[in-house]
Amino acid sequence: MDRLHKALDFCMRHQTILRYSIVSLLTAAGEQIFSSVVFKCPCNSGNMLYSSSFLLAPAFILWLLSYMVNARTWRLLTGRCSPEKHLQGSPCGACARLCQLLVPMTAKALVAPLTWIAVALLGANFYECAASGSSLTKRLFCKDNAPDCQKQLFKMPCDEKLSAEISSEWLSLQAQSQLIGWFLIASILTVALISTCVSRCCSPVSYLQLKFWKIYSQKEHELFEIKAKEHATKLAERNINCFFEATDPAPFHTPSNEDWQKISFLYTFNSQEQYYSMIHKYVSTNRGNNAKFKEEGQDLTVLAFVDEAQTDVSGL
Amino acid sequence: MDAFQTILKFFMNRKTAIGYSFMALLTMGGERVFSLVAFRCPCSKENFRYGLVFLFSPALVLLVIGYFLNSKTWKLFTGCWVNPRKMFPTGNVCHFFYVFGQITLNALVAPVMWLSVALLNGTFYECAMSGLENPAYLQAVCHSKSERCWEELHKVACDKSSLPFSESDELKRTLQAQSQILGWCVIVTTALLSLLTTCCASCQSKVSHLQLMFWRVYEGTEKEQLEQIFQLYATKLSERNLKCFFENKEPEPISLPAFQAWEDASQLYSFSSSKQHYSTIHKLVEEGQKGISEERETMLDLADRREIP
Repeated sequence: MDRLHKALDFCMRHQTILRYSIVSLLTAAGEQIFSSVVFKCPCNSGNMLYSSSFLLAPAFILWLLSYMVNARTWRLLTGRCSPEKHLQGSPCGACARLCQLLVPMTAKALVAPLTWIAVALLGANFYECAASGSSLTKRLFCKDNAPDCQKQLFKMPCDEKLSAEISSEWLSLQAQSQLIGWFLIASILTVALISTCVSRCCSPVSYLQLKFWKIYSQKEHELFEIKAKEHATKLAERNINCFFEATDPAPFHTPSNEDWQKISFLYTFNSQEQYYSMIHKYVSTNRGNNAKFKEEGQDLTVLAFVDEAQTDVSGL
Repeated sequence: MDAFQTILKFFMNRKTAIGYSFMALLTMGGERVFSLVAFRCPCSKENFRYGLVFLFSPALVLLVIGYFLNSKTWKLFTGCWVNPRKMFPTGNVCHFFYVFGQITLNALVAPVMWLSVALLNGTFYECAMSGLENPAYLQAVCHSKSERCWEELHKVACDKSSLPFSESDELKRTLQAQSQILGWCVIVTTALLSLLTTCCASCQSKVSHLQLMFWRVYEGTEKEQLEQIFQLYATKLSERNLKCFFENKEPEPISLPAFQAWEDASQLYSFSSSKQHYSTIHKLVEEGQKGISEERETMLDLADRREIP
């Protein structure tokens, strides 16, 4: 039991890395299943279209899913076009801010699709089928422009001997695919490292404070769920008892719509103040009525985790 | 015990994602079972009809089951003959279509999953399209093949044609490739449309993000408590009634909500931005019956969106 506890604690502490590893493993498993069970290169002029759809459609779906799963997307979007006035600020400022926020979100959302593409390229089936239908390969391999050459190229993924024959001078299509796959993986990791270094470098918040901040965000989110459930239980009990017993409801304080709006804004960093979340800010500025509450701050990429602490948002 | 509680909580938090993944796995399993056990392509002129029936009938069945399982359907239709004003309240004729549209969108998830899995597998489409007698389509498929392709395409799915192996293999691969490309198109279009609808709905939401989260928690809790209190009151009432019957005693009074109160509590909830009510019962309790009959609103009610009985 103790060991299980320790294992769980470890999992909770390194949630992000575990999440990315699981996504990569699932992608790799999915790719194996697809390429062995479902993918059958048609070996005709439709090769390129067929393989591109297998390469790009799952990548697109994973990209969309990554957006939907990111809590910040929903925090950003909810109520933006609403007719309620107090949900928005000035439209121009909002546009620029939106773009500034979308870039790191898109970069994060691109991890899963790029993993899929890299793993698919390492598997080599998709690329081989696509390349055998592309005009670039035709120009490289069919130097004498024989009429049958293109047809033979189309049949390459279905016939191993033919494939060895045609590509004897160049790297085989499979080898090309794997090279491109490794190159993609190496570049993704390099770009990820550089961008993390840059965002940490530009962070006005020190290392230890960031560590504390992450733990605070997690704890606040856990406690929010517990308190929300308690509050909802008490409110529901009061309502249902009043309904069944036909009595008048006892007064019950619940945060107003405006209070909820105030704590739902995206978090911005202000070096003059030291607020670790919107709820902290709300509580320290006289329930958001103080002028300090409305002070603009900076959107820092390194502090994106503050808004992303909620995972179960759109219900996903 | 504590560790198990944490693990359980982890899974309960992600129950929607787990639910959808389970549904996807079930669809894939079901499709495999159908195509291996039940599906036998007739390899005649009837291919087209046979293949289409296998492709679309399970989708229709899943759609109907989706309607059945959504409790909003029953909230909308119960008592509609007796009181048509329920479905078409004065001044708000679109209400019925709006709610029915929401229910349909929810019910469409399973059929679309079935269609995409069936198309990605390719068996049903291959059989269906090999029996399509459209000259333009036959021209496109058989264009560089022998003459016999035109007459014997429908036998290719069962490997009973007299075409050489390389040709029939190529035809099968072509049909499968078409099916799989179509399957991917269906998946990508559905994903894009559902993301756009969810984004639009969120964008226009009159309720802020965290309040929406609280609302979902409240909705779940209220449902659990309603079940418990139904059990409690039902037990109390039936105990009293049976005791009085067997022991020939006078019944002591038990207060239960009146008929009209039940009617009012069963209305579909509509959000009103000037008030702060999280459900119909909450509204009823705070405003009394007149609050329900003066209902004016319209907006997307995410609170009722994902109820399952």
